[in-house]
Amino acid sequence: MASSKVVTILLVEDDEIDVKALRWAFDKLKIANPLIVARDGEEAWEMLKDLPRPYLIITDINMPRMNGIELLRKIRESEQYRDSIVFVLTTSNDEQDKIDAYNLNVAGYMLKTDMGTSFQRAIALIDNYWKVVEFPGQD
Amino acid sequence: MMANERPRPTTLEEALRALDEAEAKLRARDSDTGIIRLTETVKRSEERFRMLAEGVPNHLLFLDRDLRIEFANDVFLEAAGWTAEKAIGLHISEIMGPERYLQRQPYYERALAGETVSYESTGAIGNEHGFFRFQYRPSFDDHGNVRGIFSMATDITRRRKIELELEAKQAELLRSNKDLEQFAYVASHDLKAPLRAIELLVQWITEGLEGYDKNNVQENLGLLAKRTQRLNRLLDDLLAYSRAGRKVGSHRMTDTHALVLDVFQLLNPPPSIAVSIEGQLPKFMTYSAPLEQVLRNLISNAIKHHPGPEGRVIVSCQEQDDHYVFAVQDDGEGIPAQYAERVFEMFQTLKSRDQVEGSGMGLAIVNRIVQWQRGRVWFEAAPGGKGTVFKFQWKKQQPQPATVETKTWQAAK
Repeated sequence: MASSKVVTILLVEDDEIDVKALRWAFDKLKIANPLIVARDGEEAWEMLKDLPRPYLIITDINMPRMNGIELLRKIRESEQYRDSIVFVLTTSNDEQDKIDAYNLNVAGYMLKTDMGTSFQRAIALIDNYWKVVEFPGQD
Repeated sequence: MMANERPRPTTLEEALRALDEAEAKLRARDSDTGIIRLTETVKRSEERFRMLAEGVPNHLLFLDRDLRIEFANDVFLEAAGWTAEKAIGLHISEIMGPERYLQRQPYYERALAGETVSYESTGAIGNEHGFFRFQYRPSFDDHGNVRGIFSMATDITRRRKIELELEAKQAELLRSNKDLEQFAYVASHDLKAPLRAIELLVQWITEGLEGYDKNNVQENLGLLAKRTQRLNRLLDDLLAYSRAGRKVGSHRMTDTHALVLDVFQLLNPPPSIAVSIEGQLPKFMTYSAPLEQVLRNLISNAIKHHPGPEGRVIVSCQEQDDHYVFAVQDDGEGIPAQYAERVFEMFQTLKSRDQVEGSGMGLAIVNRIVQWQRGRVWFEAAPGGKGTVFKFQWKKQQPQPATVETKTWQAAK
């Protein structure tokens, strides 16, 4: 059934205000899951090693050094992390980015168009997702 | 008539003989007129050929089987500065010199084997730098053997120039299309990000004021100011990028040594970072404004991204053939080679903007200016293994600005 263990969130985001916004939305929705922040794909890749399962990744696309698509590609190519559940939360409304992301099996591609209600709804969706969906490798 | 000149034949035999003679005479006269007629035809067609040969603007030659000149038209003789007497009988290699002859020999051989050959190449007699189209057409005798070659050279320098201009324009168009595409992409993220943040901060400030959370309001107002500045800077740098290689200012004698010293002063580095010039930088005629921008961006990057606490930035220059190679060396963190291409793209930073404030446009602008004047920019690990050296080529001869300045419309008064 629903996760018996608490899901850890890895947020890959280079903009501190977006990080703040996510924390704010978590607050509003009373989500208390542990939140870990990586500044770009490179940092996220390093952090994956010590990330307790079950976990869920929310990544931006445009970032320094290694962008979200490159991170996704690296995750899907790795034996160890290929089963990761990844959401994309980005400002990029580019069709190619969406195609690339879904080809790399993201659970959902969401736009940070406005940070008000639609942002809260996106977070609420992710919140529901981990409450309902079974995660791999929980035992 | 005949009958009057000679005695009337008395015998049949005599009559027959006379008839034969008359016939033979008649035949002889006929064939005379035939030859005359033939000669006239030949003369006329030769005249026509000459008119044609002298009338066309091309170089025309007829070469015999040994590639010796049998005929040369006036255009050719004029270009060569020779008389027909001097040219006739010369071997073609004596005209173009052994080196060029070696290049063109295969074409002559193919024509001598019966093939019509054409090709384009630079250099014909009297015009070494022009661009020409050559055609060699074999001429056959009655037995189908090649007896020589008609050689024709047409000056297509103008056409070629236009073709090259067209190619350059097409490349420029492709590049600017790519730029536009990239711009549309980044504009949707990099320009929108600070705007969205501002929207959000306003929302938080409003909530903070409602809840009278003064500390939070103060902090958020600070962030709001920072984001507004960031957006401003992104737009400024975007404008600078779009102008790179277009608005290049004046072409003038530039003392790059003094220019770099000015840049040092302008950037005002912290005392912990020592900036210096190695040797003497050159002085030459160039567009100084774009060169200054390139140097300023590279030096400013070296200072800004230095992790501290103490650092050195050294500018130097080496002369190479048709260009100078300027180098800006730091002893900072260094850049992994895997980012060799990415660092020169628009809006790319190696650290988040919250860590090091920067538009990610500095190197994109450098790249665009250096490419405009057909140079190259790259970075290497600094000698000694610590830090980075950015190097770029600056041509001694500058191209024209990329586009014509747009007309200034006078406002109606």
